[in-house]
Amino acid sequence: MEYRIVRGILFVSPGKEIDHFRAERIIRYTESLLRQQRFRTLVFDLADTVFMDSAGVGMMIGLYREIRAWGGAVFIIRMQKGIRRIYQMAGLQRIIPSYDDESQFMAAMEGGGKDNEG
Amino acid sequence: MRDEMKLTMNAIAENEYFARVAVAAFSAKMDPTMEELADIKTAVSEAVTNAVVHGYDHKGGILEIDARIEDEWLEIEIEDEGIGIDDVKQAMEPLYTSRPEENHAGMGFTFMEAFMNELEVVSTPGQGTKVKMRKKIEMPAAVRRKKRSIR
Repeated sequence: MEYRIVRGILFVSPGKEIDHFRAERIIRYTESLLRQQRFRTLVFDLADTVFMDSAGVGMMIGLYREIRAWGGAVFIIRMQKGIRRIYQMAGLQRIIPSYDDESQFMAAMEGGGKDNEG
Repeated sequence: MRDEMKLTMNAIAENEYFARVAVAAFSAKMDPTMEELADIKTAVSEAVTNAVVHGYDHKGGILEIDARIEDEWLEIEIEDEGIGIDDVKQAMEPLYTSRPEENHAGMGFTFMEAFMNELEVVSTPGQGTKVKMRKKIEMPAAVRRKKRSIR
């Protein structure tokens, strides 16, 4: 699990496998960071993530609810094919837009692309 | 081809990874595709997580995993001796969670059903839950032909 902050945006790299064991930890750390600093944008960078089950879906929905409390939004970048299947099956695209890479995401943020996403 | 593997472990969150990787490694001799392997791992992870979280309420307990290969079928049984499920039909409904205050998607059984060909859940309140799943791993036609000619 890794965190970085770029231009006020909190990026989380959850690691290779997001199961219930890992998800609980990521939720705890991320929740406390979000609450302390009131980030308005949270991004899951899934470049290294090769496994995610329903606990990962629960983690994303939980953190989405958290940040929505003060009008924030959640995004995913660099999602691999296997994870995309889970993402679509769970209907996450309705609340968490996905971008292929960071520069595409940053460009969308600057161009107000956030408002154009579903 | 016939083969069988039995594993007994403590139903704790740390073992979720071990459980799914062990079953995936066992199934590797069936020559599954990357997608089929991911299906197996996800289904096992969901069943084991249910035992850890719901069956034993994070307190641990006996978890038995029985995996069998019968020709093109992989059969997996995951059994706990936890509190059991009062209403299996309700538990299997998409988005249902008995613990809405926790971060659960309520998609465990949905994923098991989606990623395996068959799913059966037998539960007795107070005694435990057994999840039986079957998946057909079809050998690519080219490999089948080659194996026949070797014989």
